[in-house]
Amino acid sequence: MVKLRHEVRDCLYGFIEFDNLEKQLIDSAPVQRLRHIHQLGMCYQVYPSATHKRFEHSLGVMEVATRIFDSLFRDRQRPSVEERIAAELTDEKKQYWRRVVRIGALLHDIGHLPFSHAAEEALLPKGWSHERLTAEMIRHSTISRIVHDSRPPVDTEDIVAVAWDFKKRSIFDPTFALDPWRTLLNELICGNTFGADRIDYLLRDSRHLGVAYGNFDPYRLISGLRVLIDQTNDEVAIGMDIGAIHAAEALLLARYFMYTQVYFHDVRRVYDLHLKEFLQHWFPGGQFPSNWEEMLRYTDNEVLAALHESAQKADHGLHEFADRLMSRGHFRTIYELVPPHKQKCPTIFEDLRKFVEDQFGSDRIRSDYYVPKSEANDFPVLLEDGGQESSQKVSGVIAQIPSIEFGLIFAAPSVRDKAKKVIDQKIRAILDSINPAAEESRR
Amino acid sequence: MNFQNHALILAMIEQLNRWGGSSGKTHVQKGLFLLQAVRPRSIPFLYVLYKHGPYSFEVEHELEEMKSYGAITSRPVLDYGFAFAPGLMAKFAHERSRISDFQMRKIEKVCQFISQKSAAELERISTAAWIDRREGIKRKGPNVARLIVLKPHVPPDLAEKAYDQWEFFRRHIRNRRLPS
Repeated sequence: MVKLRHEVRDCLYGFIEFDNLEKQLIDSAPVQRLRHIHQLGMCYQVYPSATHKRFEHSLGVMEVATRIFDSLFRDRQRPSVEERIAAELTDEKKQYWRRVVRIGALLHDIGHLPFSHAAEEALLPKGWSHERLTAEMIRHSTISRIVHDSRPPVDTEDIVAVAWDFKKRSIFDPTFALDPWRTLLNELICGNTFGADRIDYLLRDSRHLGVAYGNFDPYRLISGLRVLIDQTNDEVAIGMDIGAIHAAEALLLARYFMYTQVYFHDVRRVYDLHLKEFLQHWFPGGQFPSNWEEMLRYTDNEVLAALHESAQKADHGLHEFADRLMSRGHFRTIYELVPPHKQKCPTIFEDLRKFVEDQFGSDRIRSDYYVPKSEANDFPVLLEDGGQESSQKVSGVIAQIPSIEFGLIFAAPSVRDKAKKVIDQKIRAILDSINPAAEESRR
Repeated sequence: MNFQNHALILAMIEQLNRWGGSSGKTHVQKGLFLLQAVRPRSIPFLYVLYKHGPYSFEVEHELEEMKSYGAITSRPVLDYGFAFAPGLMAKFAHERSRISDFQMRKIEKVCQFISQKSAAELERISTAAWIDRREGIKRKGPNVARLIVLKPHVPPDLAEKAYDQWEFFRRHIRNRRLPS
């Protein structure tokens, strides 16, 4: 008998089910390749159990996106929303869009480079990103044939519309417009606040790393999601019922802690910098191929084999770069930007970086800076009386979650102690020059 | 850190506060876009056509950066959302940049034009401006039709009004003061 439904066990959701079409997609080369791409790059150098891959995350996003879709569109919508989206929710269309969402979620990461985000910006030609590579594969690889041959056929452009983060797509093509319905589905998968991608990676990463603060209640969260008309701009948006606001608070706190404690961990970041340097020297021309067929040849496995080989041979041209990664010879942190420093002297990070580079040479200093972001914390909340309010006004917790920002300066192990001493003196001098009273009292 | 960009945004926030009405994210975003639409070289930010009309992630980034060192602060407002105001470190940004008197007058006029308008109204007007300037659809009929394609929930009369308001702004930005 032909099997119509399939299932795999998942560490978060128990079982993830899929049908024959989805099985064909899962078995295709672009999706199978994700079994060999670490979800968190070289984070396992800091958290040893961070060895999970993009493959299980992709299955997880498909599962979460489906649950969100079913929760959002299970019942009749509020009248103000109904008139905007009812045309897309006839039985036939609803089934079509549910399928598009599942496939889009499953495929949203297939364009990832080896070691995920670690070196994407530096290695891809200008104008390219893993999202654009994903879109190319959906349009032109074996995936395109599979979805075209399905009954009813699925339009690859609809899959691209929901899978390619609209924000990133609009930066790639500033004149590109997405209609409100597809924008809503795109938010369902890629959204900064309640996107299935974010929900799954926070839960999955915290589970694998063993960090409890990344956890929250996804079931309460998903059941509390609502399609609302955002009062600030009169557009359809995903918001939250007031009854589930605590689940949203937990998600946003989890996000904050995971970013500050895991994704922006200083040693993890310096491993990314060293990996980027290795890859820039290893790939011909210093760049990753933007041709998706060529790209399919590369996974973490090829890179790790090259790293091992380069690290083992002292006379290898890339030995120095590989050795930093394979023998824990990474650069050490000598400065971490803290808000009071920036508030006293907004240019302090740049001033210090230039100062230590002048003192020790740019080959022995590295830096990494991430600009503050807090965009995810503002979403519409449906109140008990049917009114709406901003999440930041309803929840004191959400209003107080700080922006995520970091600035790190690293020095080569050989100059680490000296560089640390010099930079500490410089910090004191900068801060004292801004606050003459402090300098006076010290004298 | 680009203090010239910060000073531009700060000038917009200061003028919005001076004219009363809203000084929230939408007003800053759309005010800068409208100014760019009539004087492209005066506003350096990249704008894209996003969920709610023209939007600049560069402006969003600068606003966050400015908040992080205290050049601006944000406070909740009575009806809905948030308003920006100059912060304790506003002077720091001003001291490291220069905005000409001419540019200041233009910013002042944009703020006069937008300060009493709602966020939804500004999104329609700036989308009409986008269709005119970026898509080259200048005549009223096709411009209004395109706006309704982009925003199907906007009734035709409001789309027409948005076009008229954009035309009004475009024509009078050169004058010393906007007619009331």
